Amino acid sequence: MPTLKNIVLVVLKIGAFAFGGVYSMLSFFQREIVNRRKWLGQEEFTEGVAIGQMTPGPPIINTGIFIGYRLKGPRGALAATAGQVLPGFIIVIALAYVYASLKGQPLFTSVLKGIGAAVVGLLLSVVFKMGKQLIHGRSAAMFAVAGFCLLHFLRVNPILLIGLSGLAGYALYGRRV
Amino acid sequence: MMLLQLFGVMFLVNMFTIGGGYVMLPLLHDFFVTQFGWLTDQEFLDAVAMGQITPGPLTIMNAFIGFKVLGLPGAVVATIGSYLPSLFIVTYVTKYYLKFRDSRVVAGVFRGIKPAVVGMLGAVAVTLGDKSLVDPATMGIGAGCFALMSFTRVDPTLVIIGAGVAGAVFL
Repeated sequence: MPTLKNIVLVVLKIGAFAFGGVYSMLSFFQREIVNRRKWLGQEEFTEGVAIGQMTPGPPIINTGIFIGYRLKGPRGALAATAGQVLPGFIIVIALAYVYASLKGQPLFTSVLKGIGAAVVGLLLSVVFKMGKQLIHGRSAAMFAVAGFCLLHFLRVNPILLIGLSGLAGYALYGRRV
Repeated sequence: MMLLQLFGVMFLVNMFTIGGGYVMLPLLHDFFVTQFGWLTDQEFLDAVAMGQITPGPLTIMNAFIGFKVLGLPGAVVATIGSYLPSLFIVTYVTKYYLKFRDSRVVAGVFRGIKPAVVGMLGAVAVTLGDKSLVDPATMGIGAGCFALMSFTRVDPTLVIIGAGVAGAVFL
């Protein structure tokens, strides 16, 4: 089990280098906490992602709080929040002073485009690794395909989708062991 | 007084929106630009851009909003107000989830939710890809990052920095 200090250091690193927002952060969390340090399994990580989506507030912060709490109770939750937020907070304040002059720079725009493309690759890798471990058998695959299609083609509200898949899961698996 | 108001708005907006940064934008815009007149439209757009270019969550833009309105104390207060609701609510939810996760009902529910979440993340990747993978160079960067993250143990920090450098060189 990690100490509080271990948790803070890992989350600070994620907060400082996960450019590209939520989906880049998901990939960092998976790599650092599931694959490399094995503090959580892929299953539990996915549960944390689902709970992060369903609760009020920023989903990735919420997933971090889930992970922090699971590892170290309320203090872990606090550490995970502070670690995710602190680096970005400092950078945003620093940038507030120079933003106007950075804005039109073509080099700056190109770097952002490169990172934008990277985020797609990172996110696909999260999907690939989760899918490999979680999707066994036909019924799980059907849930995944349904989730994809309903969100992508019909633009169903994601919270509603999680609720519906939970109901379907209960109907299908909840009543027998 | 303004500090308290700033704190209150951030707290309420975060407490009553599910889904994160983009869901909050209309509410934040309504409060800060339309109702209070504390920010101009351009300043609000700049705040969104700041949230996007900094590492970490988009909602770090709230710190920028606070900074624009009331300087450093505003940034601190806005940030604390933004994340306090999550800290309370998610801690509570997680506590009870961990307690009941082995019950048949909760286990069944999550057995449905987990693969659906994987599919939904796939759909998000496709949507993002539509916008950011627009030519051979960006597709190459995206594919390279996917391969590095899926099949090697490279540090994701290096992957992101590498993508930024590749962007500077090729785009």
